[in-house]
Amino acid sequence: MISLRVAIGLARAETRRARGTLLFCVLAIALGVLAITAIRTLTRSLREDIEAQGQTLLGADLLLDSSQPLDQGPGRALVDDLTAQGARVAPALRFYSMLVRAGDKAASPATQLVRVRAVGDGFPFYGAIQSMPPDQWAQLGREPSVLVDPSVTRRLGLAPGDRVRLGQLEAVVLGQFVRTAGSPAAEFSMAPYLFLHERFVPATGLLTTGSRIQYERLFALPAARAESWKEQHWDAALAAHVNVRTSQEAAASVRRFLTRLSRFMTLVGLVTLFLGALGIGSALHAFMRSRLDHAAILRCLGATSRDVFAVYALLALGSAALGSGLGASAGTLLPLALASASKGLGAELLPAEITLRPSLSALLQGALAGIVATIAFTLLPLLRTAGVSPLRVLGRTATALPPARSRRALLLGAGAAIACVFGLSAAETGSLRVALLFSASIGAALGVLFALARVVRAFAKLAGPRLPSFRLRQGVANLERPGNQTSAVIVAIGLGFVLLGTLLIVQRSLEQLLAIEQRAELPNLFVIDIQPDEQPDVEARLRATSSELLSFSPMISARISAVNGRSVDQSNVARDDVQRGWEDRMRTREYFVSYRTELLPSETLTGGEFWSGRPAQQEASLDTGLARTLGIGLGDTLRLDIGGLPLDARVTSFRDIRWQALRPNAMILLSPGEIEAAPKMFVASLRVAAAAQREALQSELVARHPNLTVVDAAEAAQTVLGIVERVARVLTVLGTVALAVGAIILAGAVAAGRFARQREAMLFKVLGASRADLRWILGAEYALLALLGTLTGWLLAEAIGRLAVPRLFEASAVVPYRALGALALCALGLNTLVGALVGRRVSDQPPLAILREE
Amino acid sequence: MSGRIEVRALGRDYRDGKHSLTVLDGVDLVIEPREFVAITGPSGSGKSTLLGLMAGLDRPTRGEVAIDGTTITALSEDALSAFRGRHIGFVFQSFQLIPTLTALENVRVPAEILGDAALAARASELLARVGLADRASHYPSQLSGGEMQRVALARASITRPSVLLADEPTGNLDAAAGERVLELLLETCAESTLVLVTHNAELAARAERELCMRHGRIDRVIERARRRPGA
Repeated sequence: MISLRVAIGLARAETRRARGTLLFCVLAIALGVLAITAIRTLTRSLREDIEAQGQTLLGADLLLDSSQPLDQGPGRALVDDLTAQGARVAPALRFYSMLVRAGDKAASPATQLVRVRAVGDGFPFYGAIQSMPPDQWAQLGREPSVLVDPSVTRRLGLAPGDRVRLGQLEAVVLGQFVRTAGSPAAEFSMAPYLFLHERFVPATGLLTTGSRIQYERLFALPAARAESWKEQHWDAALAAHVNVRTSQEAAASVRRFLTRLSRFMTLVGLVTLFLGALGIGSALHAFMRSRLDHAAILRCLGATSRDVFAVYALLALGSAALGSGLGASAGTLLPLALASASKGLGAELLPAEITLRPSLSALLQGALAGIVATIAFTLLPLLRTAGVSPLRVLGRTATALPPARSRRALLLGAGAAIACVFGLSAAETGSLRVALLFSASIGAALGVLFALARVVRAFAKLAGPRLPSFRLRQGVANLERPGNQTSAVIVAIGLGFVLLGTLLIVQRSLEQLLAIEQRAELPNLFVIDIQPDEQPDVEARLRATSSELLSFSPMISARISAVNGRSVDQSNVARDDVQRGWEDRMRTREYFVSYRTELLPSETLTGGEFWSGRPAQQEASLDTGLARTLGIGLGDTLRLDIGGLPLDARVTSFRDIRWQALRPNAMILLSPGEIEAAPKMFVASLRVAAAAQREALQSELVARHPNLTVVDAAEAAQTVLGIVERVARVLTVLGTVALAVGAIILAGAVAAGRFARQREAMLFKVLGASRADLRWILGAEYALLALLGTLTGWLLAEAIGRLAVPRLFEASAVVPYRALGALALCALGLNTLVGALVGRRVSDQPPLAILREE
Repeated sequence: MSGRIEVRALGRDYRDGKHSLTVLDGVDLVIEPREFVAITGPSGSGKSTLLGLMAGLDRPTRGEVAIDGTTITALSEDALSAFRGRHIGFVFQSFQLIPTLTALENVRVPAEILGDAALAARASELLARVGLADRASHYPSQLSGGEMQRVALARASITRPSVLLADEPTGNLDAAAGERVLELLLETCAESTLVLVTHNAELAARAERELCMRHGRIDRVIERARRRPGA
């Protein structure tokens, strides 16, 4: 075995005539590592800041909330237990309502859906709520008054001192609260917040039966015992239908959203990293293939396979370490550089004050990921080079390895790459399931692209010689010739296109989904909390404006108390609010139950038989997913708890619900019967085409029935669209980095194949070919590669989009053909240009200089 | 090590799918220490294959090769590499210098692989002996054919191998350069057994024994008097 000094010396010598190739290797891996490190630095800062600001986010150590008042029933015992322990308490309520501007300001709309946060004395225990004008928070309890979100003051044209109505309460506008990140006023909501003192809520008259009100108690605990209290009282709280949230779990939904977003970003970053690793792998593959003779000479001179492996592994490792170090350093600093642009990217949507700072662990992990990925993706060429037969020096063998060893090297190399993709994605996302799906997707995409490359080579072999034009014939034949970069280029272009194409399809599909204004098949106005005695009047008012898609549905608040006499198993429900998944929520939540005689167009029967008319016994039809989660079968008896009163219903059918149809759907649907006597409210939905008409209708309805909540879906969708746009902006930044990596891989692959082409080109030149001929030959080769890579990437992106979008968003995928076409043209043009430039460099070289090399 | 080579019933077939081609067919041969043997014959007669098998660059289909009693055809891949590095020198028709190493570095490589600093220190001296002291820092692409082959010769002799195998060492050179290389070959490897594959009858005539090959067998042997310096 040669000494490390000698191995390093030989590796250094190999760099002498390969600076360009190695620079490309360093750049490819550096960009991949940059992406993953930047994402890691960003998400780490986000997570740490949100966790550190838990107390001020919640404004308390502990929050109890329930749909039932907490000063009575089983919830009361929990509150008493905490106060007995010396906890300070502040009552609070949360509900949606319509805010009406009193007085006449013709230029502005008169109503606005708001989320009322009514809080008692003491709130917030931690942090402060700033206002404009300043110091208005303390005035909130003195007289009926409100502090509103800046967007409300803008929309309704409100100024301090103006008067507004909330239900039957008339209040004065104190001003607007400042939505400072990290304050309890920074929570995300579909409707803007409004602060009111809790003592004025009864005067609004909105605490009527059926209103969807969330009753809260906030506590400041001595010695911050929130976590242990939650642990001890979990079962009691679950039984009392009281949700417990600690400051550590504060902004759970935001954190969950961030976790998902960061996971998605991490996956995009990983694709970039693997593209980079694939780039360095394919460049080193081409490089080592050109060095097979060197390796064979070393073997002749007494070097073992291990020695040769060591020399080239040092070379790969050196490139990986340099690239990873550069990428990780740049990735750590990039988010800081982008901090000034963070508002445009959506930082103000975040509930916490984010201070971006470099993270040593993100830097080290990013660099390590780069080195691991490089080793995994270069193992195959390393093994092949190390296993070269010394007989090669006599020109006795064309291949590096005998078939059995070649197979073993392929298995080892491919195994290392697969293990690396799976291991790194599992480590980065923290989910084995996501890692498995991601690895399978990457594997499938690579499989398709490599298979295509094989087909292309076979086609080139078959059809190349038959083509009529000399230039085209040679260009196509190059795809199959030794030293070709067909696989590398097709994979680089294809994978880059898959990534960007899929992002584009998902983004456009979401935009289309949320373009409610343009979608005539969807209702766009919802009236909630209609009491039975108000229903005839509301219906009359609605019909007077539009009866398009008009429907009324009764809604009854209920819980599932038992199935076939057994209560729903809640023992495995995750205690951590952040960890609690959809299935856990199915077991603990309160449902809005409805009843009617027929299926809606948005529903499909998946099992059993839907009742007709009014069955003698109460029947139930459940959402298929809900039934599966709770283990409910056809024929089972469901016991519902409706305001403390039991109601039994036999499950006779299951339905799939298409929620995106925006119909008044219900997971639990009952046949008309006993249920009709239960306390209920109605929900109306309809389509009113003109925004001004919707506006007028809202004002009219709220003026007549102040308890009503009117939701303009188009307006709510705009809020979501704003978020989608910002997320898309972040993803575009990532996609651009991926594209840059793809371009570098392409340039590297082209450069790696250049030498092989140079010798051929020189021979052509000696035999009489013109410089234009040479440029056309290389241009044709790279244009064809780009065309095939792009088309395959497109097909894959479309397939992924069409499969994923319906599953993720329950909506059909929108394929933006024009945008994809433009992207394809760019890829095609860029690649052809690269080919032509290489052709120019090759054709401008004097033949002697090239033919004399090696 | 003295450099005695024994070749017993050596055979080599090449397979290409269903077809099999016998390139070497039961060759038996003993080459004594410090003997100078030339192998001649028409193209495709098995000369280079025999040389490659004697160097352990290839594995035989049948038979075995022993050098100083060590059956090299039975050695593992790594043991064979180590044996080759220590005991066998090789000179190729197409020089086979590593283009990314300078002339001096090329000469030093085998000693460095062995990890023998004392041998490595001989590199400059050897380069001077082949008349290339002033080209030490030049890369192969900056050398002429004759110069490249002289560098290859210095490289082959740096480890003082007991066996030196040369495959058409003057095949790519003009007459004058070829003569110079041959003189140097005989001079620098005076202590080694020398086996040379050549088409050149004049060159072959300078060997103590000439093995004429045909259809993978030794067809004729021409014995001559010992003429090597010190022999």
